[in-house]
Amino acid sequence: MGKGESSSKKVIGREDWEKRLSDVKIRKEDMNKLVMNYLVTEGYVDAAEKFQLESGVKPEIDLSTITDRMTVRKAVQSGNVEDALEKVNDLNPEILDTNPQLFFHLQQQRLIELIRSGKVEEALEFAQEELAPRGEENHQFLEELERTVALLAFEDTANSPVSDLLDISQRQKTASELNAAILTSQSHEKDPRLPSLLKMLVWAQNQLDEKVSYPRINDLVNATLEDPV
Amino acid sequence: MAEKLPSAWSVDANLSSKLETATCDLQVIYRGSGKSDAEAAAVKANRPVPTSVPIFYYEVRVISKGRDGYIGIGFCADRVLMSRLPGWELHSYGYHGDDGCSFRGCSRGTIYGPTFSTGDVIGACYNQLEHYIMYTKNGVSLGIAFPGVNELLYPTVGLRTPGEKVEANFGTKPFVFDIDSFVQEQKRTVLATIQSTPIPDCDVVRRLVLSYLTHHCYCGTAAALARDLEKGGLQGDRLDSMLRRKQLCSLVEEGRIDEAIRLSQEATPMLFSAFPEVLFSLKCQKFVEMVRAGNDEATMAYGRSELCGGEQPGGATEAVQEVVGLLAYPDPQASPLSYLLEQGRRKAVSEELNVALKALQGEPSRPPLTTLYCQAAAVHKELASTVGRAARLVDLDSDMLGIRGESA
Repeated sequence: MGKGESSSKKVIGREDWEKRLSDVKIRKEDMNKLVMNYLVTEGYVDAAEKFQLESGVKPEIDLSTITDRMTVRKAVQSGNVEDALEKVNDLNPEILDTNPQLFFHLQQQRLIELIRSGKVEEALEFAQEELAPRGEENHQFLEELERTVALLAFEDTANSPVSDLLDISQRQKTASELNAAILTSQSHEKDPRLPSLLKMLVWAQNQLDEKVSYPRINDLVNATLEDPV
Repeated sequence: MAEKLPSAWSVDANLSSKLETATCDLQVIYRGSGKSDAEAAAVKANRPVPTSVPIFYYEVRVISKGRDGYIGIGFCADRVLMSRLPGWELHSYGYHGDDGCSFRGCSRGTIYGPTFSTGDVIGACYNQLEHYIMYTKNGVSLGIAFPGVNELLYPTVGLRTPGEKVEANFGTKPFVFDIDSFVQEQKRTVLATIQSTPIPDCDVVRRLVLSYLTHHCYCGTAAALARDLEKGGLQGDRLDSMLRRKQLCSLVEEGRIDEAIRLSQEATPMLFSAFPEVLFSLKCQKFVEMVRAGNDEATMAYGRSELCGGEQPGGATEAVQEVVGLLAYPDPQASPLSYLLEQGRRKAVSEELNVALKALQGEPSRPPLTTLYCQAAAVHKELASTVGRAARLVDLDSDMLGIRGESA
């Protein structure tokens, strides 16, 4: 980008921008619907039930239909991947048959759980017998497998470059992927709509950056406005 | 304000004497001798294609091919010579009927599409999203003729032999080509691009939802969600502060204003000195509740001592007049001010109290999730009004979030 280009950028100051933000109208009811859609799609049944009571928003599907989905999901969240695999197959065996990536990630999670509980030998055996053959079929799988096995190489895994795998969010990630697959098999929207809001925001900000300097949001969790450059 | 689209051929002093227009300047007829290429004449539209329009489309019907049908259809920039057929000059783009060739800044053509003649309808599309010009013939797309086009252009037609006669449709009549489906297809492409935008991992959304629930005091929901998210669920102080806010807000929503004021003051002694306007709103609400209860004398006395005496925050006079006005009606529920007695007003006051309580803890007035929505809407609006042609194709509420607009 040349100097001339940046100096010709339109600048919108903080005060002006904050006024624009407060001029945006969104009904709380619509926001609540998005939250309900999120809770239902992600399978947080308890929260969805409570939310129905507290906000008066009706869930878009019968909450009882998500119980099975939730059981499977909870199994992954609490580290019982074998349990989850069994239950998914009871629910619909096609889900895993038609989703090699999901199946791999579940097996990977199983390996992570073995490593977490210190069963080194069992972990190695499992990696070699169950995961390595799949890695040979797919380069991406192989990389992920190698990264996971690397956990065994560090004495202090928490401070290792692969510590993220042991994080609770890794279980969440696997659980979400499984959840989405079950939703698709039940012909429900597999993704909640709220992430689209974030995608739209990130996309639009990137586009606008080219021509305008304005208070941007980089920290999505806290939604903090940065000063325009 | 949307910029105006081209709507007719430009008939001014510069119009070639070899051309004549008719039917509200939509038809063009060739009146020259047509002896050689030097006798060619072109006309452009009254306005250029606005840069803000993602996809511009118009059609030309050939009423008569005249002697030889040397007809050119396309786009050209502002200062292009009008005594030449479209495409022969630089910054000029044309599709010619006699040979089906496309011309771009050169008098030698490139093989492009079929020839066209009397009765055919030719469409010209300037796609400013993907920077190309394409044509259609009798409702069928002929594909991209000119890629990499990125300049301000006018629709243009050029004629060259006697009897040639064409008529343009700039959108006042239905097009032969299904341009709407074409635009929808483009829109799907843009949506797919947006959906593939990487965002930080899914944990962000969960945390946003949790802070949203906490902000609005959906205590049970927040606790249930937090149990799934964090070890040990919601932490002590966060839960306590939310429950306290919830309690105070519920009192307001039940109309128990005195208790709300007293307990707020006890729990956070700083609150009303920091936010006198909130105390004032609560007092106005107290007045409304007294009207509801029906003791006019006590209500009046309260109004005099609490609302009209002493220092008042800005905007107070109007607020007082509004609520005191209720006393003018024998049946306030059936009065024009009955909206003051609705539950929504209690909720608004309760939200005001909630925001003040949050502000006292150094927290923002909107939950981060709502701020992200406002930011997305504001950025999108600015984008659509300045540079983002793609942004114009997409609506945040209906396309991205499944929110149906309120009917006006």
